[in-house]
Amino acid sequence: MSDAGQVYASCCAGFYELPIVEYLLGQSFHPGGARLTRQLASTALVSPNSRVLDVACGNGNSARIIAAHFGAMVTGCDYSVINLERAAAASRTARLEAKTQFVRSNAERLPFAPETFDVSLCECSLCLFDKMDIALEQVYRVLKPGGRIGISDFFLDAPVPQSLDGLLGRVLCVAGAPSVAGYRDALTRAGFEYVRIRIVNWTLADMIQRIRQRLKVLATTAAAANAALPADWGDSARVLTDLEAFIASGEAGYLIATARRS
Amino acid sequence: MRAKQRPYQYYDSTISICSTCLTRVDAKIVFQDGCVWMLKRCPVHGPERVLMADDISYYKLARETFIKTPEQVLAPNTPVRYGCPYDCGICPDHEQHGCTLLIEVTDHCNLRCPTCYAGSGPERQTHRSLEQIERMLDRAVANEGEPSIIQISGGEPTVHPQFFEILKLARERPIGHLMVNTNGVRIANEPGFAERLAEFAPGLEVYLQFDSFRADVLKSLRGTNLRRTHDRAIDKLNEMGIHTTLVATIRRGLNDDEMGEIIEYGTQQPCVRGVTFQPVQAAGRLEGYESGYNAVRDRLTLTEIRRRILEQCPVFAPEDLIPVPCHPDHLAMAYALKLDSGLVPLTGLVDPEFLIEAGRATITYEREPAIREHFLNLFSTHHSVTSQADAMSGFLDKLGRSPAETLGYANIFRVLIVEFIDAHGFDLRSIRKTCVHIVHPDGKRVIPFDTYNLLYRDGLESQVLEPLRNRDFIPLNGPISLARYQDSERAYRE
Repeated sequence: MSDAGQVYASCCAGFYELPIVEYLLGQSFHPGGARLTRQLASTALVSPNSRVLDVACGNGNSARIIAAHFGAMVTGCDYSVINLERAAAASRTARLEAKTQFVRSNAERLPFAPETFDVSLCECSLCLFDKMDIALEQVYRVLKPGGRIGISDFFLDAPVPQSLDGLLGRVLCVAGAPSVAGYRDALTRAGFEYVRIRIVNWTLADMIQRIRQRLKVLATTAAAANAALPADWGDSARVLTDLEAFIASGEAGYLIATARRS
Repeated sequence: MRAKQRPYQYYDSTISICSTCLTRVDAKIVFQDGCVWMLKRCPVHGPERVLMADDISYYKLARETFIKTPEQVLAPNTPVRYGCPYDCGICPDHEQHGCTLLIEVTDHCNLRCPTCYAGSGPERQTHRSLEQIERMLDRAVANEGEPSIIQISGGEPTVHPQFFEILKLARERPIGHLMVNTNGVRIANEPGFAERLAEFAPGLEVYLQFDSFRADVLKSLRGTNLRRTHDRAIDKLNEMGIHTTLVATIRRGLNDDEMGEIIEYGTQQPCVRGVTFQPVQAAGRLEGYESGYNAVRDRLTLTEIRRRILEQCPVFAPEDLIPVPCHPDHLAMAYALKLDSGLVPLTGLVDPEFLIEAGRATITYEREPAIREHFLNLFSTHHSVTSQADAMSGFLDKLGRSPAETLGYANIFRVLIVEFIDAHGFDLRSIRKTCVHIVHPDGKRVIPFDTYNLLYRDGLESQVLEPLRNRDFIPLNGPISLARYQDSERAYRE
């Protein structure tokens, strides 16, 4: 893995450790929340017998949802040590420590033997990786033959309006997201077959609404929390409005992609 | 201190029957380890834990979303007296009309399958008379008005000496679709038989037993290797252009890895319009199991079959194989277009709401004009750019021809899962929705397939059902939920 890749991953993971981010995005760091996690896992054929890898698992919320709801064994990997510690602690609280484990790793070099997992999920994380092709190759390597990959992520079929280029915009996975065709091609290049893509834009309307409400609360209460925002955060209200308009145009949105390892 | 917790999530309560004595018992439905379980307790035979589904999301989807107003029979035939399932006939508390009605014209069979819910065989000589069969057909018409599907069954119906006269009798009645449920032996072996069958087409469909490509599997399920018989039967049916559904009885660990291959084979046969998968119902004759049929080891649920199909036939995604609204817990279907380039799934493109609202309560959606119209509209009318653009463009690429031209009945291929309910998984909430019924040979009653094989077939009614009807109440004598279910504890790993 290149140094640049590591820097990017580290910076992104670091961002997710900001308290403000969890406050704004909630427990599930991705659009659609627990409902979309369950849909993604179902679509990727997670069963009680599955060994599942959750790439960039964050605080392990999705891993716990999948372990509890599907009865599967879930391994979460993430680059952030703090996230991993919190994930492990939350699993103990939820009495899911026997069904979940968390491993520090970068998506571009997964520390697992070939053909280890039945399903690998990448929720709202693929478009953040510097080298998506390498991440997909890694997932392909650790999946068993016939195993499934499930991706949920932003897509962009047109250039991003300039106003969305700040840090908030980037964290909402917008900047640099592949197109629908881009995902299809990347999965195919990595050797996956039976690629199926579903557009799930309902998730974004929900998420934007939630962030907006929480920003409002934040503005009326804690000036200190506002001060904690990074300098290049951007104008939150404008970013959200522009994002809504962009999604409504049909040129951007959220998708679920599944494919089968041959 | 941590609060004491159940090892499961409690979902619902229901009524079941004891798998040993078939007495009505209290039951709970719980979620644990990603699976849906039924917990129940018989006062005499103790507690049981039964796997209902290994997919909680799908189970809830079927139960909570795929609900529609049930259609009723024109008039019920039996009063409610002892309580479900001891009043079948149809009783006024049944919540679905009969989508498919079976007329069993004989108990005789030219095979003696180790697995047979009807317990048929060469030793049984009873062919029903034409008069009796007419009474049974008339009962079907009296109940349904115009029955959607009548399936001539048995035993092996084609060995009835007056088989073609039976078809004529059926044809004289207002029946939507006529099916012949057969093992194919006579079609394969008797010159001229398929030709005579073809005289009843169109509107006649062969429901052809087709379980496996492997000799050992066929020997286990059918007692003999039917591989070449199947091939010859299919050749004849192709030659005569008789619409055919392949019906595979699926037994865990035996042929549950062959479903993708059977679908693939079906798509290559011009006569084949679909494949139906049925897990073995624990009823009738269940031979050839090592130390006997063992529910914990041998039962196979609908969601397990569904996932195996999705794994083995990756052209189908989960949204393509969905509950059938007339009996969503126990029927699942997928529609696809059968093209030269392979199957193209259709069901996932249709909003489930539409399937729930439109059409009659019946398992043959492709015959519903509204549904066909909707499939057509998918391609001809405007679709919002983002909703299904990707699916649609992939679809149209494959289609290559005008949709209207391609989307005839001839090109629609159906995959159906039919899980008949046995005593183990018996759930009163579901049994009331069953829509595959058997016309009783008395010509007076129509009984759900599921309960017929448990309580009403042949001697069961007098020997098993009657004592249950008149049994005294026995106190429960213990809880339904236990810390451990020893006799049905299942290491759910394969």
